[in-house]
Amino acid sequence: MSTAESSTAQFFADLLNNQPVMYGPDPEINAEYRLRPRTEREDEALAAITDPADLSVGLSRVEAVLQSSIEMMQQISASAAAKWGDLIVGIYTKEGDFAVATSSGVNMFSATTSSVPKFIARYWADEPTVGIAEGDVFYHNDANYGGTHNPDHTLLIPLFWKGEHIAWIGAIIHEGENGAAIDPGGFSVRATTKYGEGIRIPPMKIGENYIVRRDVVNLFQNQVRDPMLWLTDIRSKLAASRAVERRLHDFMAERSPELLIATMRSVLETTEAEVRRRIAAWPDGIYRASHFADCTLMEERLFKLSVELEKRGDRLTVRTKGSSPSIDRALNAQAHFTRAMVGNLFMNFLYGDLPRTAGFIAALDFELEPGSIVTADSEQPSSLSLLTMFSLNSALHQAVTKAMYAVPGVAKPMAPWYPQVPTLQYGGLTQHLQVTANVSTEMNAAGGGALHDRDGEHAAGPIFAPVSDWGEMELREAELPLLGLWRRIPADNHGFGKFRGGASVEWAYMLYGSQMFGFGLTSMGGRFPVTGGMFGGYGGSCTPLTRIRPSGGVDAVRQWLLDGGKGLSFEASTMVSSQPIAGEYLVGNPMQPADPRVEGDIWIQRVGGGGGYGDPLERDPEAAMLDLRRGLISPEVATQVYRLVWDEERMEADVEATEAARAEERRARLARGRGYDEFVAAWRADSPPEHLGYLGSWDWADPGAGEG
Amino acid sequence: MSSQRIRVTEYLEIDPESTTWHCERCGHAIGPASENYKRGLLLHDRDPREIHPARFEGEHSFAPDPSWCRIVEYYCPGCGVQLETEYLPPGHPLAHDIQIDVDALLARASEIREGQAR
Repeated sequence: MSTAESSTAQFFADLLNNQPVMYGPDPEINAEYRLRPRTEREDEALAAITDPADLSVGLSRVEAVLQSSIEMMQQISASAAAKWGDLIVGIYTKEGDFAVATSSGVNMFSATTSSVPKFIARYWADEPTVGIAEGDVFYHNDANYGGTHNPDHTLLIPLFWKGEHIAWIGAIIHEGENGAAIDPGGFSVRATTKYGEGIRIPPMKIGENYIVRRDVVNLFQNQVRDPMLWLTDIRSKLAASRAVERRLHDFMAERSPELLIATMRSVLETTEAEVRRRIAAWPDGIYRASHFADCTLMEERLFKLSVELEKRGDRLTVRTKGSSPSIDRALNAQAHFTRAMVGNLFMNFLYGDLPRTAGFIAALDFELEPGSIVTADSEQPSSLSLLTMFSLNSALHQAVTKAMYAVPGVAKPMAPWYPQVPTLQYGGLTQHLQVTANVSTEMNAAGGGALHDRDGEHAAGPIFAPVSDWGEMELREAELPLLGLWRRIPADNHGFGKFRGGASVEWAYMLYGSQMFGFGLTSMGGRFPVTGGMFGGYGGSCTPLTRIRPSGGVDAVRQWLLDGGKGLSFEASTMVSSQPIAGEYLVGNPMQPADPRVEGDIWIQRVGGGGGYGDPLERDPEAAMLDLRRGLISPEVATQVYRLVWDEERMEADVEATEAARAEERRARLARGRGYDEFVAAWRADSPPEHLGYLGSWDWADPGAGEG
Repeated sequence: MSSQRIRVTEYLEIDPESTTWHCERCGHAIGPASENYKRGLLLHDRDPREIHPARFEGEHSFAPDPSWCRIVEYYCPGCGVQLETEYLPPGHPLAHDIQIDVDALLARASEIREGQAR
């Protein structure tokens, strides 16, 4: 073959084999959640460990390194979410399995970002224009390539030691602005395709020799409303990653690279084995639960999230059949996020004593039907996938609790926590003449679910980052053109039961100090509660958004407050009922796109409480009395739900009279309750009520329906 | 309440001799453990506003909308304890939420008893 012929053959070979139009999401990598097989290097490293205690020392050292780095990143990052806990730092094996993550922050990132280094290794390692070398910096935010949703940004650097690629170091932060076409703040409420959701970065190299290319960052910044946020936080993530790298270099110099490699492999395998061992103790069987979400971002309609768990031996298979189909709203989640949500429950609510690793979900089996809202394909919009996932969590939590109750081991049976994120999504010009866009962190005040032996925690934390904070209102006021009017726990804002759910707060902000600022709110639960109860306990109440636009704007509010604020009740529903300042009062679903607002606009929103556990008639009368005295429950709930009888003057429970009232209520239950078949005959509808715009299965013949 | 019964949830247990569901509180026999325990309970369609009070008339009253959401309450026919609640859209199928493998459960209980005896 002549040189010319050889060159032509090479040209066509490249054209056919090595020149794809682009490197899109890899379905095989995205579907991979088991641990990669041990490599020869990992076998060698494990064989080199002569004292198993060294592995324990190695894990402690790695965890300490990661924890100090996350604390540093939290301090130096610009992201509002990161400051209060929406971040993580971790290390992955060279093969890409997320080996160890910080115990605080968003643990589920450890279950859903392994695909990022795996993509880099598969496509860029041997690509002459990219490659992987010491000092390289990679970046990613497109959830179709892994991760949760696009506001979560991953920065990765390869960890080398004496020329050998040992591991990956990752730093992940929720960044509250992505340049969506319409909505600021990272959540694209009005996107109907992924092309309206802003910048989508596949795993890519953005720097070499630890220096990020400024032209690449400039490209990113040019797409978004808050360029300072991006610049600062690319730097903060890189700084945190380098701090990990430096200390792991110290560790390898002091001990050995083999110990680090063996520690990572060991923690992955032992976590997987331990999760399986614990699951094996649960009774074999099938466990089911469904939950319903009442808003599809731009309209109120009901959609279903359904969970079926099948437990046999040490295998637990998770299914989501019956859930809503995917839709042209940003609520779709990819299957890897669904798997991570299951991992989140196991990490944060069952087995918090184990290291956060990809070993959690590797222990589980998944049968997830494609095409649903929890298994959407890569063309669907998904920036608010988290709302769907959080609704799924309510069902998942109930099903898992029923599966494991008999042999909970170290887990504590509990009712679901409040799962949603009713928080301000904002953008515009601040009082400091700075352009900004982001989300506020009141969502982190979610109420904890009641436990089997005690009440839930008030304002405990969000389900995705229980170790977090919800920030000071005064700091929000200092940064943003917002005046905080109140934060307080309103009555009846939790689930009732033998043990009650933790309550949460109602917050109120007024736009103040800028006439070029807007905000919206992304949550659910205006008509259908988002938190379920457990074993006879009740779920949470509804949490609609209250909006007040005072006549006369901010000047009228200022004058009203100067005059003593007559009628200011510090509670939404009584403000609506009494309307103490003239204006427009609107109450609706807590889902409003971020649009420009008028200075003086007041928004009031409740974060929900956790679910209740057990029959409320079994609640200690003195505990119910304390709830009433503290204003956690209203007199109506004390009477109607707890059947509490009390002395109104002394505010003391009459225990004897309460027991009599409860006995009467139990007799009333026996009188009004209907046998199963009689009840179903009156209850059953063969199709959903039309006004619900219902999405999801509705099949009385399904084995999961109660006819079995 | 036999000490031999196997606790499955807060309010349910299974008698290994008769393989039947029982109320953990009063011992009432609910039905065969191989079937849906809910079939042996009493059910009530609860207007959610009776549990989660409405704060004012009209929509989005802080109570669940009764045309969107109902609470199905399940009571023990023996003692009236409330074993379960389900928040459902009106007319939606009731969940067969616990479908336990009774044979596997009994085999395992037997193994544990034998282990304790040794």
